[in-house]
Amino acid sequence: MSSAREYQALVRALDQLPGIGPQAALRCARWLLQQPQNSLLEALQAAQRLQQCPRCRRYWQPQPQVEFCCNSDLGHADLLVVVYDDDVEAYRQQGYRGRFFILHGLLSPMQGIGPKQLRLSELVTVLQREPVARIGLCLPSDVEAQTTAYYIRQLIQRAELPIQPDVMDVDTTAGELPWPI
Amino acid sequence: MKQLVVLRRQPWRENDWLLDVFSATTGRQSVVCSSRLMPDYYRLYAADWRDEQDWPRLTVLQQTEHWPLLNEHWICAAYVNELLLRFLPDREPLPLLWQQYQHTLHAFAEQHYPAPWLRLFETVLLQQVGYGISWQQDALGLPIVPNARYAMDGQQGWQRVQDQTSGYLGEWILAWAKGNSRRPELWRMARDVLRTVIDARLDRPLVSRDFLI
Ligand SMILES: [Zn+2]
Repeated sequence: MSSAREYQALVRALDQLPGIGPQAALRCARWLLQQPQNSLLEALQAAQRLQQCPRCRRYWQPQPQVEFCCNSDLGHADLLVVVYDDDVEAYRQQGYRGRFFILHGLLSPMQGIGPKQLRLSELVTVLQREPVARIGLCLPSDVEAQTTAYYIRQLIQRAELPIQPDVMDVDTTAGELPWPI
Repeated sequence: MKQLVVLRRQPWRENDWLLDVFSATTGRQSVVCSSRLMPDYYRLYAADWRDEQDWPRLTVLQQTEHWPLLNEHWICAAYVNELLLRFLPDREPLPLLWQQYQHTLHAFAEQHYPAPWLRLFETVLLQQVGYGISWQQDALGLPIVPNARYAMDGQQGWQRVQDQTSGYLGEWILAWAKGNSRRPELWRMARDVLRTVIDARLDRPLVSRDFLI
């Protein structure tokens, strides 16, 4: 008799996770099913409550009467484009108080991630709504990052925004700012 | 040692990556490698691997060529890699396509105008995976007639159409078959026709098409 359909669906879902192969998916499924149910439910509910802030795209839990998570940097003239939510803290610790825009990944057609998946046109919308004096792209030095940087430069140019991004290689300058403040 | 290029890298375990590689001898396949050994895109490697539980593991990796890319050539190379990932069957050696991939990347690295290289790559790819286009016969096996008009059906091939405003003139199709490369309208036709056939064979659109702003 083959295993329950739900069990197979669980293994398949785990197999889709980055870094998990078919064997590891089986191991994870067995492990998960032995955990107390509450901890699993809590993790999923926390993920469901989170949304992306419409201005900076950080993860946050929307509050009544609060439009953005990042009201404190309204009117600031610098914008840093970073790859992940966790990158924000590194720049804050360096003393940076300007705005952020989180990409939530890099362009990689090989992984099925294109401009639509990253919703990169939102960057143009943000820049049109609140113009900036300086924009820094804080990206690693790999192929996906360079493709992303090229695409963002093109996007800004085509939108006729009067600004050129400064690109920072975060692999060699982790947490450093593109500008000497 | 096997010659290979990387088509896709995905994190797998704490210190391991899962790679989709395209190799001269085995075609496309998945292998695991440690972060220490990790190959980069758009480089040619001599490599070896040994069998393991989930996927074979890379044991040796030496870079033998690097195709440095800039600007739009990044995008074109990403498109070529995406095509390979979407079309290549597992573990089937495709020597002609392997050669063409290297020529194409070399041309991109040399900053050649990419369009002709892309059309050639698409043509060889479709031929090698069994979806080659005939530029001399229609879907019924009849010769293309110079003054008739034809539209490309992505699955079937050229279909003769009566409407004088749609499709392409047979003369264009035959001129392309003869290798006439001086007429810009033929290049546009080839781009659109190849795109039609490629899209018809895929279950979802190519992400790299969205890169062209
Ligand atoms: Zn925000």
